[in-house]
Amino acid sequence: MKVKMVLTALAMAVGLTATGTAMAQKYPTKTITMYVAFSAGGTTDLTARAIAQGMEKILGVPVAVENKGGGGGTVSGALLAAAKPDGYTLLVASTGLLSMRPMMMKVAFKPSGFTPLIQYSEYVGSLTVRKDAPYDTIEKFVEHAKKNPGMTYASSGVNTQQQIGVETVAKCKGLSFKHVPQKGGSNSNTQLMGGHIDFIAGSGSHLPFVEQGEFRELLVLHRDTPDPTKPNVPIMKDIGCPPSNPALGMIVVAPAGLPADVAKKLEQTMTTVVQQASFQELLKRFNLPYDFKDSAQLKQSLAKETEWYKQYLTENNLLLK
Amino acid sequence: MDLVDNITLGFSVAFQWQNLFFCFVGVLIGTLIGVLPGLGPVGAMAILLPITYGISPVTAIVMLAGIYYGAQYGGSTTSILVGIPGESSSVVTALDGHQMALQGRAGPALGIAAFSSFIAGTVAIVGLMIMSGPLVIFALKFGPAEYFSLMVLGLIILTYLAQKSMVKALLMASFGVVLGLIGLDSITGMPRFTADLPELLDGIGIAPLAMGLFGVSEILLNIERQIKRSVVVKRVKNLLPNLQDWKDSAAPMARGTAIGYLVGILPGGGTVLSSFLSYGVEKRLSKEPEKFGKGAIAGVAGPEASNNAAAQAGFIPLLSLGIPASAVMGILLGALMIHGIQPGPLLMRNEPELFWGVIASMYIGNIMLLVLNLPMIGLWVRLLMVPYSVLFPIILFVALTGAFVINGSILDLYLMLGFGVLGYFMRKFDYEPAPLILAFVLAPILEISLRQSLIISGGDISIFFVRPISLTLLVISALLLLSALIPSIRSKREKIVAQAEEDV
Amino acid sequence: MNAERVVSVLWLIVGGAVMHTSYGLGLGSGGEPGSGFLPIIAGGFICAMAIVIYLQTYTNKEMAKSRFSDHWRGTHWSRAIILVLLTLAFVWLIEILGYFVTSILLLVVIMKFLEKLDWFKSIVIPIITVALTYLLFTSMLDTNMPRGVIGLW
Repeated sequence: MKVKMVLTALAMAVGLTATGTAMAQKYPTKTITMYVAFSAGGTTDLTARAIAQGMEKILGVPVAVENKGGGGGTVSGALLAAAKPDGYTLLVASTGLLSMRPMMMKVAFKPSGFTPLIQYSEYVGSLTVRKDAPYDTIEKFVEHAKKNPGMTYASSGVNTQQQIGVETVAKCKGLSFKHVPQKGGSNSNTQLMGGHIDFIAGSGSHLPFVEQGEFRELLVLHRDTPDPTKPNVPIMKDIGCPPSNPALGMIVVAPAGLPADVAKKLEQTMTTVVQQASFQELLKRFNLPYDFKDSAQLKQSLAKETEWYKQYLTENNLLLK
Repeated sequence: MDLVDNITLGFSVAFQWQNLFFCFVGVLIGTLIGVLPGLGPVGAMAILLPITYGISPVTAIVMLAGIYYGAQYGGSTTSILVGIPGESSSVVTALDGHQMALQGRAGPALGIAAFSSFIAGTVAIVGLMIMSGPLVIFALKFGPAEYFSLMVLGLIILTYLAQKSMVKALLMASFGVVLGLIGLDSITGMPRFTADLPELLDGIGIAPLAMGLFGVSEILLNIERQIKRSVVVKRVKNLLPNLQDWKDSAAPMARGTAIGYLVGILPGGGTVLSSFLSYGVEKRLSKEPEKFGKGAIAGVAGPEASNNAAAQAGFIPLLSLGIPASAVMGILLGALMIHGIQPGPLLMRNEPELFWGVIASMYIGNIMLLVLNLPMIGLWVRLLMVPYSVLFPIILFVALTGAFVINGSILDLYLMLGFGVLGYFMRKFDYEPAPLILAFVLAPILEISLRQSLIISGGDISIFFVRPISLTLLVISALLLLSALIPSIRSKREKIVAQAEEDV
Repeated sequence: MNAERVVSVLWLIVGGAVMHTSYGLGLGSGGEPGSGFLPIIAGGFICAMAIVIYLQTYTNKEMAKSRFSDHWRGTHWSRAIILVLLTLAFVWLIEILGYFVTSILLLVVIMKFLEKLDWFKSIVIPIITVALTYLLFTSMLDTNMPRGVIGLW
C-alpha cells in the first residue's frame, strides 16, 4: 500500500509537470485507468486485475481498475468511447460489446469508437446436464429432446453467447427448448443442482461442478476444434451440425484515435504480461482457455464476429429498429 | 472425521497468528465500511482482493469474510445514530433505532444491536457447523415457484410495516415495485423505465435510494425546524441496555436468528429481506405494536439478529456447494479460485483446513467485533452531542461521498438528492418509506421468479400450488393476510390509529 | 386547497404514467408475462390507492382538514431549499473543480452562511473532515475521486 502511495505521489508530481507537454515518447507518465465491463470478483474482472498488476510493473505507473459492470457492459463502453485517446483509459470487455450489443440495443457508443489492442482469452460454453440425468451422451440427449419437446434450460441471460449456442443446436436438430433466463451464471448452476431445469448453457462457472462430479458436459459449443482440456466431449461438427456462434473473446480496448506508438507500447506490454507463467497459471485456475490475438488479428476476428451476429440477429428479428 | 475433530482442527487453524491478525484487520475494515454510508462490503472486498494474493487462501478468506460480517455490525451504528442506513441491511434498524437515539437511548440501542448481532452470529456459526448438509439440500429445493411464494410472503409482511395508513403503505409498496423494476428486464434483456440513461440499465441502487429517503430527507426535515438546534439528543440516559431492555429483546433475538439463518441460506435471500421479515414478525407478535416506529427495542433486536444470522448463513451455500448466494459470495468465490481452490461440493472434503478454519475464525471475529463495538458506544454517543449545525453538514458530506464511491457515478448523487427531496415531501404527508424499500428489494426477484415459473410450467399457474414448499409459503401468507382483516385485529388497528391521532 | 387531495392526484398521474409506459412495453399473455406485466399491475395499484385517498379526504375528518400550510407552519423551509440547491451545486461542480475543492466549498458555505458559525469553525472543520475522508478513500480504499478539469487533487 505504501509503495502505491509513493508511486502515486511520484506519478502525480511527474504528471503535473508533464501535463503541458503530453507527448507519447514519455508515455506513460501518470495513472492509467482500466475499466472492466463486469462486476468485481468474476473471472473477467480478476484476469483484468492481474493484467493491470503486470502492466504496473513494466510501465512503472499505477494502473487503477474500476468496475463498471452496468447494463451488460454498455455503461463502460460509453465511458470509454467518451474518453480521450491518450492511452490513459482502457477497457477490458467481451468482444460482444462491440460486435453484438450495438446492433441489439441503443448504446452510447459505436463499434468504430474503439481501438482493439489484444485478446487474451475467450468465453466457453457447453450444454451441461446433471450427472444423474438419464442421457449421458449428446446423442441420447437429442433423442430424448425429440420425444419430449419443451425441455427447460437455464443460461446467464437472454442472447448471451451460450444461450445462442444452445439455440443453434436446437435449430440444427429441429428441437424446441424452453429458455429460463437467470440473472448471472451461478444461478444456472443452482437451478440445475436443485433439478428445477433439465440442462444449462454452461458459461464457465459450471466447470468446478463438472470437475467435482456433479455435472456432465454433453456438448462443447462455439469451437471448431475439440477443447484440449476435454477431448472426449463432442463438438458441433461431431453431431453433424454447422458451427454454433463464435465464442466471444476477452479483450482490452482503448478509445479510437489512439496514437500509433502508444497503441504499440500498450500492445507489447500486455502481450508480455499475458504470456507470463503466473498469468497462464491464473487462466488455468479459472478454467479459461488461453486464446491470444494481437491487434491486427483481433480486428479481423471482430469483423467476422460482427458479420455472424448480424446475420443471426436479422434472422431472429432481433436487430435494433 | 467427526465433528469434534473438525472443530478442533478449525480452531487450531484460526488461532495461527496470521489468521488472527487478518481476521482483526478484516472485521475492523468491515466495521468502518459499515459505518460509512454508501460503500458496502462488496466494493471494499473487491478493492482489497489484491492484498490477499501474497497470503494463504485460508487467511485471505478469513479477512474477506471478516469485512463482510463486520459491515453488518457497523451498519447499525449509522442507522441508529443519524438515521442513515450504513448498510442496506440496516435500513430497518434506522426505523426504531434512530427513534431510540432521539429519545436519549442511543446507548441501549447500540448495545442491543451489538449483542443481538453477536448472539445471532454465533448461533448461526454453530448452525453452519452442524447443519450445513441437510439445510443446503433444503435450500436447493427452492426453485422459481418457491422464490415467488417467498416474495409474496415478504410483501404480506410488508403490510404489517404500515404504521398509519394502510392505503398509503400499499401505494408506497406499489411505487417501490415500479422503482425496483427499473433497468434491464432480465427475461427480455431490454431496458425498462430507464429514460435512455445508460447508468440506469442496472437499476437504481439501493444505497442512494435508502440514504436519500431516510438520511437526506431527515436532514432536510431537521434543518427547517430550528435555526440553531443545539443537540440532536437532549440528554443521554445510560450507555447500556437495562434489564427491561434485555427482557424485551430476548425473544425477538431468538426469532430474528432463526429467520435470518433460514433466509440467509437461500441464494438470493440475503440480509435485507431477512431484516425486514424479522421487523414485520416482531411487530405482528408484539403486544404493543403501536410502539414500533417510535423506539421499540424489539424493532432493533430482531432485525439486527437476523441480518447477522443471514450474513453468516450466506456462507453455507458457498462453502458446502460452491454456490455464491450473493455478490459478496461471488467475490469470495473468485478469491478461492485465484488461490487455486476449486469451490464445489467437495470443498469440505478436499480442504478441511480451509472450511473449518474459516468457520472457527468467524466465531473469533464475532467476539472481536463485540469487543470492538461495545466500548465505542460511549464514543458514538458523545458524537451525538456535537451541535447539529456542525454535524449535519459532515453527515451530508460523508453520505454524498459514500454514495459516489459505490459506482463512481454522478447519477447516484442526483438520485440520492432526488430521493431525499421526495422523502422530505413523503414524510410530511405520512407516506412511509419502509414499505417502499422492501417492495423495491423484493420486486425484481418476485417478477423474475413469476416469469421463470410460468415458462417452466408452460403458463400453468398450478405450479405454485402443487409444489409443497411453495404451497406452504402461500398458505402462511394467506393466513397472515386474513388475520390482518379479522375484526379483533381490525379494532386493534383502529385503536392504534385513534391513539396516533390523539398523539398528534 | 386540500393538501391530501392534491397529493393523491399527483400519485394518480404517476400511476397513470406507469400504466401507460407498461402497456407500451408489452403485457405478454397469462402464460408468458411480458415486460410490462408486473409494472402495469403496480401502476394500477398506485392509481387505485390514489383514488381511495382522494375519496378519504371527503369521508375522513382528519384528512378533510388537511392544508398545505399545516405542514410548513413555523418551519424555516427556506433553509431546506437552500440546502438542496447547495447540494445540487456540489454535484454539478464536482467534476469541474474536483472532489476535494468542491467538498470543502460545500461545507464552508453551509457552515458559514447557512448555519452562521464563526469563520474559524467554518474553515477548519471542513478542511479536516474532507482531508481525512479523502485520504481514507483514496489511499486506504484505493478509490478514484473526481479530479476536476483543473486536475487538482
